[in-house]
Amino acid sequence: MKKLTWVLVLFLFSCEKDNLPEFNRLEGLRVLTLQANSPEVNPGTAVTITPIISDIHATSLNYSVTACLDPGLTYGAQPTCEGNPSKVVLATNTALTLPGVGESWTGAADAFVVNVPNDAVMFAGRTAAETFNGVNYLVIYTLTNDAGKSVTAFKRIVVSETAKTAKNANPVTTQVFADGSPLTTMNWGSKFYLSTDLSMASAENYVVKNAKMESFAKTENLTTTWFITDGEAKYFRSAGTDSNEFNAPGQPPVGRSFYLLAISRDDRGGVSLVKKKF
Amino acid sequence: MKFYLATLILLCGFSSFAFDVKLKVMEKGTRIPLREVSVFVLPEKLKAETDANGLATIANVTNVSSQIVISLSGYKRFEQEVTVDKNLEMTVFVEKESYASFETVVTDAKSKRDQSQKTLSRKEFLEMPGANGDPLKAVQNLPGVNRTQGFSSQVVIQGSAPKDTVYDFEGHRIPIVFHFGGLSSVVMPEALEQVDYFSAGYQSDYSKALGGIVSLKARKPDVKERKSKGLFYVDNLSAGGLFEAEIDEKSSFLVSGRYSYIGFFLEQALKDNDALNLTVAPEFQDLTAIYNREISDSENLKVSLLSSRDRLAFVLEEPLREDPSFRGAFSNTTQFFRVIPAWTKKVDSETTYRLSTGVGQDEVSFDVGNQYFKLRSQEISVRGEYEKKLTESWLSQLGVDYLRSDAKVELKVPQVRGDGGVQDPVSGGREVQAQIKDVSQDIGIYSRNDYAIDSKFSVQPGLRFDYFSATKESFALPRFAAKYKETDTWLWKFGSGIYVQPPEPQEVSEDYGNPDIKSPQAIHLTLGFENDQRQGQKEGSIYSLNLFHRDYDKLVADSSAQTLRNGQAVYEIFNNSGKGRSYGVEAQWKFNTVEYQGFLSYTWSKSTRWRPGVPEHNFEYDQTHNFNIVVAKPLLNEWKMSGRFRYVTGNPYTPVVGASYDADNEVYFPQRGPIYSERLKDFYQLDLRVDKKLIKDESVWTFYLDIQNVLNTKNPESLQYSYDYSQKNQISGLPVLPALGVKGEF
Repeated sequence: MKKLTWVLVLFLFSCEKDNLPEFNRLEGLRVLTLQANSPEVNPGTAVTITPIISDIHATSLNYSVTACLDPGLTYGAQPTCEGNPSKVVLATNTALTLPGVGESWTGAADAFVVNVPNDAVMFAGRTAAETFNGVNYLVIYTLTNDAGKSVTAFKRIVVSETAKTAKNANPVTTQVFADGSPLTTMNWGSKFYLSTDLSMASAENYVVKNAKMESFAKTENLTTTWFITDGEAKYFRSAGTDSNEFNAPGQPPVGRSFYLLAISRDDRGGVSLVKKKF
Repeated sequence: MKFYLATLILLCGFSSFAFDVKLKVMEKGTRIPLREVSVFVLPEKLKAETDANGLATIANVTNVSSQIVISLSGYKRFEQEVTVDKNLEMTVFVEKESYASFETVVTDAKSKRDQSQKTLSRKEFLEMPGANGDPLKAVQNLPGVNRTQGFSSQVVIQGSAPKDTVYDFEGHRIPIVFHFGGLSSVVMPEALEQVDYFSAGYQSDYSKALGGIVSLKARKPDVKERKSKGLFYVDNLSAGGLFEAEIDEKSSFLVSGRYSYIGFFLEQALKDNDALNLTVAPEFQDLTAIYNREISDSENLKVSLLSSRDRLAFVLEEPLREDPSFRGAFSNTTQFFRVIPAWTKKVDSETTYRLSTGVGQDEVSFDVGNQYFKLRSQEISVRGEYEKKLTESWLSQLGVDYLRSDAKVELKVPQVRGDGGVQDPVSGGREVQAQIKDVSQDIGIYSRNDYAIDSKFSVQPGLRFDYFSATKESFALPRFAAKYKETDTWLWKFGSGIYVQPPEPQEVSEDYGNPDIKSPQAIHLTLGFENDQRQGQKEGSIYSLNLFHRDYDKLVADSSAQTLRNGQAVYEIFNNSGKGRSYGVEAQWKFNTVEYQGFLSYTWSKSTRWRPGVPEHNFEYDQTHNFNIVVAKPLLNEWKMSGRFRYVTGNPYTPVVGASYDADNEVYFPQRGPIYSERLKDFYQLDLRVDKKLIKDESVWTFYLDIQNVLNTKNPESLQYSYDYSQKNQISGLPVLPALGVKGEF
């Protein structure tokens, strides 16, 4: 309630535009998402994770990866594997080769593989509801640039019982549209509406169970976040298949390309990406 | 001879033309009949005295051109020329010397039932600058009351938590005491007699609050002087009215109501804001009704009704930068009502019975996007007390205090952590969906005693038994207070006790919390003195000073540890590992002279908390210095100016030293530094109020301008972080906020 009151207060007294950075503006070192080839898997599965990153000023980047059983993030534990007996080190200060200087370090970075423990480890002490809904395996990815700045991102790989066959899949997007047509060229200085080919069919129906093993039917909420290096998007995120007003920059940026990344998500860890470069 | 005959005829003729003048003498504006007032008719120097209804008859006025004169202490001299050529009946209105005084009414220490009690009368809170006539905002000026944020709807007492304050109306708990955003309390101020505030060391008739009690007392309809009267007011936030009248010789009623239209102004302010669309402008309304029947000289029945409703809805077109979960349609409705019949019977000079019952319903409804929280709770409460003067020096009370809540909750909400006041993102929280039906009962039985050892020294031992069905706990809670009246002006007082408070419903919920949670506890100690230099006069000063100390134990704390419950490893979510203490000194100087009235209050305090793994740290409301000065000066022609200045140490906050990106939810999890280890800047605020009264014969009009934060000081109230917590801005509190209004009393 306190937070909601402040929502209104912020709007009432925010006559002066604040000087805080915008969420969808790509400037410094960022991890935009960690995309798993399968966001929900059986125990003992090897999962490939592809980080989507950006650092338009970087000349080189290094990464480290650790993984562990979820220490209880949703119950207030810190997102870290330090001190966790199940911690596994997957990479330490390893140099990135992708997406590289030629892409202004914006896009898909070097993928890595996470071997999810077997069910004896994953489901030890877990309730039937938890093994059905899925137990999280935590992957922590740290990215460091040549300026010494470091950012940490984490992803939960959802591990559910093998008997549950309807597992979550990534949503599907392949194209960004401008006013309904594929965005193939950038009309500098113009205003148009961005959308993707994300279909509501990607919004999967699924079931969760409570502690009493009662089932609740749910449907995924799909969203698309519009990360940009230049120009102005009215909203940084659009819901479902909604479009988003975009004012393109008056001219191409000097010394680098213009990037637009549309990252679509379900609300269960599934991700898809379309990247545009002009 | 002819001359004498003519004179005699003339005199006889004149004497046969003597008339009666019947006067009704009333106070100007209020129309209160003035009794026992001497009325003179000049030049004949005839005199009469008004009766209880303000009526006086001056017989045999023979002088056609006469003058009526009324001279009464506290009133302007009344003179009116009249032509007495027949029997006259007229009403005269005598004007008070001043209608615009600000009185610092102090409840005499002797008449206080509880020495921890501080009382604000209706007149005090209606005219206190910076409070805009609101009783609870006025309470926030009292010593020992921590400052809350400008939009807060809480009263925080002596370094305790906001949830440690209990609010009651006529002795029965109410769920909220302020309307939306703390704009106004839920009762029309004019319908109240007083507001009482009980702090450390409060006695055994109250319980279930580690901090203290704020108690609203409704007034009886005032029909002694007039059979009916009313008032209305209009200001830039709300409008309302009150009417009270006699039903018969023994019965009377009062009804009042208010409706806010602040939403209209908010709609205008947000008209051009694309990101937020107000679909239901914030509105509040409340109704207070009181029926009073004096069954006999020793028996009284008062039935009070209080209802309140707040509603707000808006659409966030774009999610909050810090947390994209905050997006979409938001609506909130909070409403409740209570009907409270209260019966009092004074059997004889030594025995009194009091019995009251509160019946009502609370409803809270939140919708945020696809998440919701809906609570409907039927509440029944009973308070009964038997008071007996056992000996000349021993007054004893035995009472019962019962509350039953029959609640139904439907919720689908995220559960997020907020250690140190820094909340984890809602998107990363655990979503809890549940339907809960719960019946809880709190049963309290208490004994209070006031035993005078001698004319100077008295002790007030008490004992209370509480049972909480939610936690299945029983407690025996001793309380002890003492008074020592050293001289006619010096009073020393001491209070202590053990206090418990049932945990919040969500904390013991099996779905949302930990069913093994127990009740937090506290020990209070307070020692102080009061020096009343008025010596029975209206004018003078009162000094008071109190030391207070509270130790808290078994406080409910967040936990991410696992525990075994029914043989299963589960997350605790909450446990009772929290401890804390708060201590300080509070002082107040009240002054009342012809020229100035007001008070100065100062509190120095320290409040800390700790739990395993988290060393002792400042509490969220630890405010080292809290200084308030309120001064009012009556001016000529019914003008009055008053002002309030406040200085309070800035609130502690927890620095965020880093953040991790939750790639599944596109939010950052803050990494907290030492809990509440830094402070916002100190708080300064100057408020001014100007009142002007227009006194008409049969009405009083009051025009007022109450300006909060005259200097437009940008006091930091909170911090706003960038999406990744790498940068921050401060959010300032209320800007200069004028309230302009008019009140008419008829």
